[in-house]
Amino acid sequence: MTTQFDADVIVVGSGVLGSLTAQALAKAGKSVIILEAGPRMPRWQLLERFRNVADKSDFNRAYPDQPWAPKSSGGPHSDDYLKNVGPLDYRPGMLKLVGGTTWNWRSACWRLLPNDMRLKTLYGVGRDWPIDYAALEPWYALAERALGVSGNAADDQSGRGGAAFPPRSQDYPLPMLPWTYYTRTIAAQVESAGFAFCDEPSARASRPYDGRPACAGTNNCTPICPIGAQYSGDVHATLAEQAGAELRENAVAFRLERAGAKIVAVHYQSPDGKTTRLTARAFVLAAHGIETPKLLLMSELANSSDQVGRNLMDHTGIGVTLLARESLWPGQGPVQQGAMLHWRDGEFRRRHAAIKHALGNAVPNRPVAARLLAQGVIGPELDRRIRHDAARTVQLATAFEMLPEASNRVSLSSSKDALGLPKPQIHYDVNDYVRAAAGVAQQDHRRIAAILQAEVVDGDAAWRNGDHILGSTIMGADPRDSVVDGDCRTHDHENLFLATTGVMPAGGVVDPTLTGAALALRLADLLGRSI
Amino acid sequence: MLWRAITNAALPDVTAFSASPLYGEATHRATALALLSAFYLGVVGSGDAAHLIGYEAALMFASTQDVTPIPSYAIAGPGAWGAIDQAAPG
Repeated sequence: MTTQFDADVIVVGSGVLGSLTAQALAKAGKSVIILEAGPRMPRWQLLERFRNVADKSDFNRAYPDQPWAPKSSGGPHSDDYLKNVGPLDYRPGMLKLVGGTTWNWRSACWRLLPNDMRLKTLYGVGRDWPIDYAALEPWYALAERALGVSGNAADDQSGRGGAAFPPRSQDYPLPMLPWTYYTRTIAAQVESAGFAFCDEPSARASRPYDGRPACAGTNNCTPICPIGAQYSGDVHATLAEQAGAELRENAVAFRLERAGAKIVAVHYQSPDGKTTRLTARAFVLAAHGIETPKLLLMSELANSSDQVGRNLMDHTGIGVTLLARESLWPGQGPVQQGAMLHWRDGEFRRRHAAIKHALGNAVPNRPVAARLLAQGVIGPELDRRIRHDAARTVQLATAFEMLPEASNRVSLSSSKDALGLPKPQIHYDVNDYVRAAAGVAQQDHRRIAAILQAEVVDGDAAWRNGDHILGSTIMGADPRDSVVDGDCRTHDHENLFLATTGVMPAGGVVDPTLTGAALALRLADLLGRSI
Repeated sequence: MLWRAITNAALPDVTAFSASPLYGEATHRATALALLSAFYLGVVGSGDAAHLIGYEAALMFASTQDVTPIPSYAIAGPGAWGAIDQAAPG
């Protein structure tokens, strides 16, 4: 008897990782259905919403806030969606619309270092990856081409100011974007004091690429690039459709159905509550690092290890705002261009987390004007001081590596959303490994302030989300303590794969999307050849 | 109330107001700062009650728009910032 399926593969989630997977499979001739919980919206409409929204400090705010597809914040349906019960409020950026959360990102596209993937072996902490850098390298090169990454292949991205590293088989597809006066001046000043500074590779096109225009420096990478020079997941959602994939919007997957050890169907709800069942040969969950474990927990699947939802990590960090002595003029060009990575790798990782200091380059007028008004500065003096302080503002965003801990966890809340589905419950904290690094980073902040002859206008005490969700469906060689294997296939179900940064068992201290993209392309290739 | 006080004191502009005793009076000061915040930040109210009254026209951008963009609007072509080799007066 021949079994009929609705599709060869069903992908849950139309963000960058789901759409890359879907496009690769569709190009390989497979029939693919993509389920997206949120609606489809054109860039111009999102841009107009950004310009017209009152609270521009919440980058989620301009994006659709639907009762059936809540975001992590930024609207009445979303603000109470993530139910935090731990010491720290964890609310990473999460959007639900066609294209996913990369509508709102800075598009940093770092690769991991080979040592990031051998943390346990080298430094006795955390976990090792079950695959090594050499296995991932060709997929990194393909991911850089897919996303259109601009970068400098000559840089030592290990932060030591040495020879090109990590190893790469191909140059970046696009040359690095030119640095602004601000970035160049600060890079030269910190380098003369011994801090290596290197370009941040980004998915902003430095020249027209794959239908995208070159970056025009509108300084609005977050919350939305007005012209699409910066990559967002809708690029590959569209390419997947052009390759033959069917994309269903406003389709909220809520249960996977199994028969024996295999997954046979996914059930989704429409906004009106109607449910639909779809069958396929294989299933890929690419529903973000919070919703992917939530869907597995709701389905009671892939969890023989009891690790689904646990080991939640981010690059929780701290930030500092300085006022330099000289005019530097942040705000020309994109919102971030480079970083100091001298604490990226070394024996110190036995004692404290790796550290990245990214140099922010956002137009600072809003916080500057608000601060001055709060001080009562008005009249021509206010105009003079806005210009003076905006020209001298220096923003450092410092991120820390985290280690997997079972208690940092996504689970199912007893509180329900508008469709009656459980909201994600989150327990989150940072441990002493991170706290020790924070002390080191604060010393760096003081040294950098001294180099720039700057005063501190906003201190570095509060923890900040990094929006980099890791570990929540952790990868490992041993099915007893991990959810997926090195191919992103769940240990428990041979036809269920996860395309999410949530699989990463160690994330170093760099933005994880490129690594997630490399893993997604690798799993799509494997899956495409096995169906 | 603020308007009447400014008129009675014959204060011609914000500079004169900021130097006058009126600006030291809590009620007048709060009213003036609420009005000026709306003009500069482009928003009245706060939290869920916040309303946008202007973005591009918000005065917070007026004194820097020869140098930096109002975010989401370009002020020069692709990569033009790379050729700027000195800081504008600030």
